[in-house]
Amino acid sequence: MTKGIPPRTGARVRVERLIKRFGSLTAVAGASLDVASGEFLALLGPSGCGKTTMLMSIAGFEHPDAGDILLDERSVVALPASRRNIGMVFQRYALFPHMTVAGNIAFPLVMRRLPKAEIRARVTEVIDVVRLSGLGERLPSQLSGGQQQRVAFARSVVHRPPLLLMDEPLAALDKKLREEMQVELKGLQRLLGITVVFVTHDQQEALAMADRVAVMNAGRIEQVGSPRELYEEPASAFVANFVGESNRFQGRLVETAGSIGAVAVEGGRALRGRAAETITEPVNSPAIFMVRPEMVSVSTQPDSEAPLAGVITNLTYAGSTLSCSVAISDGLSIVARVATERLGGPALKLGDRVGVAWRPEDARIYPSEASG
Amino acid sequence: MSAVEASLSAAYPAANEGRLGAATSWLLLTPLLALFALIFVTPVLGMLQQGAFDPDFTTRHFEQAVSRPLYVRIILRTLRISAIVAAGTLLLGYPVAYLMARAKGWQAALLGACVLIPLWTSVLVRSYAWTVLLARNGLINNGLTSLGLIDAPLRLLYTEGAVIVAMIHVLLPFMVLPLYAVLRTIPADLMQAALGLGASGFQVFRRITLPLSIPGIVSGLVMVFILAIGFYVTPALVGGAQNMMVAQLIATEIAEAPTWGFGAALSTVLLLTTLGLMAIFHRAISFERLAGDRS
Repeated sequence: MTKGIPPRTGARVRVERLIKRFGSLTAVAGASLDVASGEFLALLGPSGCGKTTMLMSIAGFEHPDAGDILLDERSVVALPASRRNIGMVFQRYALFPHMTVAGNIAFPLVMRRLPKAEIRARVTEVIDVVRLSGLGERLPSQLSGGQQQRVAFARSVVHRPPLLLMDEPLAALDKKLREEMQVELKGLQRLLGITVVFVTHDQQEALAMADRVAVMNAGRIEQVGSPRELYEEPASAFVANFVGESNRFQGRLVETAGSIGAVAVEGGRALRGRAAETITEPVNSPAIFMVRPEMVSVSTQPDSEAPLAGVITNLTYAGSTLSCSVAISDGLSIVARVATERLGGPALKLGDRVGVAWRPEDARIYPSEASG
Repeated sequence: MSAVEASLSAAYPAANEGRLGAATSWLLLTPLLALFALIFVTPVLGMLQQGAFDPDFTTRHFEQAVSRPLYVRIILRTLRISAIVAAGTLLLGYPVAYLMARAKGWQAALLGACVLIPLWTSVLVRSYAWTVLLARNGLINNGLTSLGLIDAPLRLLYTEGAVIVAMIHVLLPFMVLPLYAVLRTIPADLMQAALGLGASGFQVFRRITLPLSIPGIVSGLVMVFILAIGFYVTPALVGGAQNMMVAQLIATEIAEAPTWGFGAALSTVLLLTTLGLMAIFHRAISFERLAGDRS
């Protein structure tokens, strides 16, 4: 990359069968990823799933044991972090406390030995873009959390890198500010056309910001897809459980008739749902049944149409919806999210006997996860 | 108390419940204060009085200290040696402190022991060790002679160089420890951030690590310099009379040629220099708190 002539489009990023071990622990176990130019990809997973190790490997702060990382089809694994030309926003921002806001933002340009006048012009420009005008001479400690976040972002894009990595950049902010920054960062990313890989453990954040989300678990990528695909077509029980809410029951596969199957749960009841393609096990093998609360309907007159009936044990009002827990039997309680009465939902109160039902194609059956 | 602390304690009075009232605090301090008043403040005041009254008020002793060429030479030598020693400990100590701050596990423990064990060893023992090394028939001269590198033993002991080398050795921990304390607080992600933004390893050091460790450098320099200008045992053992420093001069004046007034005046000069440096030291500490606040 020639100094001072930065690219203006985002890089395509490919990670191929990346493996990284720390002693006996395998943090990343052969994960592959393909991020398109200008795409915003979220790496989502619980803590310890390897998402940060993956990000640090792309940045060059961790050295993978195997696999390759390509930026625009050029391998960068052999390059030190300082020569990869990748922007990075750290979880705690990592602003230089002894430099002013302008000094922090100018840092990557000074390192690239750009002419003073150009540095000044670019810093002023980016300070305007992130709405920090007039704060250039402040020290980071004199800024609020949201302002520090903006400085960190400005500093990581001022040298126009083709790729920006973000490690839980909003985790330190309170909820309201976090939601504002989600919209703002997404807007800035679109404006700059930069490719972003964004690490988070917050599924709401991943769904809200990303073009595509890669869900990681135990060092592997479980599924990559648009937020809609992840939510509506989760590829595994882990993804279905991690993204959004689910009613989740362990049982045994009792029948598979085409794509629709049934899982017998405690008490002998059979719950019907669409069997995932990964189901290849014979009848009677362990399986997981899942249905999203909003797919469950509640009827106040339980009849033969509703195969399951029970008593309402809990009602949680959430403005536009009502969460309703229905105890079918001792081991079986199903949560349904229904419209409130005012929005045309059923009239429900604690202790009512109701029927619950769902269309089998809206529920999912997965093979039991290897380690439970 | 900073403005933030003040507003915090106003907003959360319960947070102050663990703090002690003024009366209790003074009561707890009384035994030590009484001891200090008796064995430290009284003699110091007595010394000041002896330097300035002989028997009536006079500046004679102070004038003597700054006018007689021999004494001026000793004072200047003391300041020069102390400055060189402070600079030397910084140059030798910074890499050690840097390594200690980055090391983990047994390596950190080993480095810490290497710095602390000499500190716990008597200054006298360590200074005598240097006389064994540097003497005319010492280890270094014997070694060089038997290797055929020199014909006659070199004059190593009783030189200013010997004083400087031995004092650097003795005072090194007082540089390493404050440097380590500051370097350890610099978050590792600052260095990663600088690398990721295109800085080379040297640039990370020059633009991030070094400026952020200035409070430690100042603390270390002041601490070593203050200890060095009052050093007695080491220069007396390895420097001899030709390389006399102020502390030896004071001892000679008071013990051998009982001129209490002049000795007291010299001690006062030493005390004032130390207090002046302590003031700088104090400002360095406040700077550290300013730079360390990154929340």
